Amino acid sequence: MGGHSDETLTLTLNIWRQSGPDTAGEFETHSREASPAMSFLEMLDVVNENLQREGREPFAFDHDCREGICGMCSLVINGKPHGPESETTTCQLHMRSFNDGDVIWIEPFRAKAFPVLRDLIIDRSPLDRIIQAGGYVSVNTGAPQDANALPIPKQNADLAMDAAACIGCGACVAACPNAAAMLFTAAKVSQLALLPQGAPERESRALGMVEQMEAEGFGHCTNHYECMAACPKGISTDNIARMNREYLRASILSR
Amino acid sequence: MHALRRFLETSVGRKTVLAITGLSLFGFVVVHLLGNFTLFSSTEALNEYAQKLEDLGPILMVAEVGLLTLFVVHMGLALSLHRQSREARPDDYRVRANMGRSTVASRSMLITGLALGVFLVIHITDFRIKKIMGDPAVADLGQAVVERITSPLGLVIYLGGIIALGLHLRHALQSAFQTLGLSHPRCADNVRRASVACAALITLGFAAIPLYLLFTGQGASS
Repeated sequence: MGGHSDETLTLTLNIWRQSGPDTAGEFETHSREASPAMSFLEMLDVVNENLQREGREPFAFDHDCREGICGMCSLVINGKPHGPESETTTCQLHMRSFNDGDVIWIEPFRAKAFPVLRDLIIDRSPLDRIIQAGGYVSVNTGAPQDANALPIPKQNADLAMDAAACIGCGACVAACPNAAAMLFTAAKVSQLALLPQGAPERESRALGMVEQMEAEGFGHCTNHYECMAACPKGISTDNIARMNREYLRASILSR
Repeated sequence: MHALRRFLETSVGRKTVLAITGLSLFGFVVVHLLGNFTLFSSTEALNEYAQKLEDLGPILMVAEVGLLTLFVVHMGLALSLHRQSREARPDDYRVRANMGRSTVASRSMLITGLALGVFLVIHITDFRIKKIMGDPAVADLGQAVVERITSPLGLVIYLGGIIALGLHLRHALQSAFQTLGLSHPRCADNVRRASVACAALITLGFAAIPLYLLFTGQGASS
């Protein structure tokens, strides 16, 4: 943990600049002061305000809720997706995690399936298409049923909830040495595989989501477990074992 | 057949086969090590053991073809999966930090695997193929093995191969269980520990043989 709230940090920022998906990018270096109380994204906001004041192009980066639940923010900060703090999204990372004089390298998540659209913004729609391939339950809407009509063991409810904590940010892909999307897909398969509501589409879901994941051009899992360490929601790789099981089962049972 | 082809088109399916072939090869390594332990007794004991295997006739041939198939499938799948992952990140990070969960063993699976492949070619050419060809150099197989693994170059190649095997197994065993979905939160840590322990035991077991021979003066110089 870095400085105190009354100190000002002088930082050297190396920020990725890339005008589009088909152009080469490079780091642009800026020296900026920041308060330790700022969030990382607020620090970037200040960088952008200064750039605009100087009539220069601000850096494009993704963000939305800024409270760690939407999954929009990304960035690889000094080689780590979402930066140095564990189970913390970039928007919840604060400059007090850095020291005065630090050199900070800021790059986009890198994977063939996540092309850079501009600067630090990447296209994460492959994750949406994996969900579309089976990460849902088809239910007819209507009056809510009685709360205890479907008995669910507490343990399964807890595990499903843990898996459902995935915000789909793609940090697992970014951290994976193989750019695999196994942790994301596994969390989304697991959250439904653990619940009775997911049972009717169990096989088609496992097959559909795994096959879509492959079609998007992600890498394969070599069980390094780097994804779990990078995940801002602490999703466990036990989910990957569950998905492997689900996929094997579905391959045998499906017609 | 359609279902099998569909299964093998995904990395998850190919990894399943990779894990099954890997575990089978691990079983072979254990049996091979137990066979090598006959050298603690005498070179004659190894020859007797080898003769018993030879006496199996066609069964041995089927087993050898089966083993070769396992190796070829395992290596072929590993290379195809590796290529997929290389293509999945054509533009790598300029600054890359380890998240702290991967290990030297997990990161060097391709290298240790390829090293094992090279070791196997040397190993099989030296002993098995020469034996099949009736080369007089391996007429006394036990003696030929002792001379080879206690000679300076032979010992270096042998220990290099064994270290590659140990590193490979250190990651591979628990990884195979994870891939096959045989991982449960209650026992995952124990599976990981057992995997490391197995790799260490196999490494020490293989390494002990030439070291024992050298320390008891039964080396190549005799």
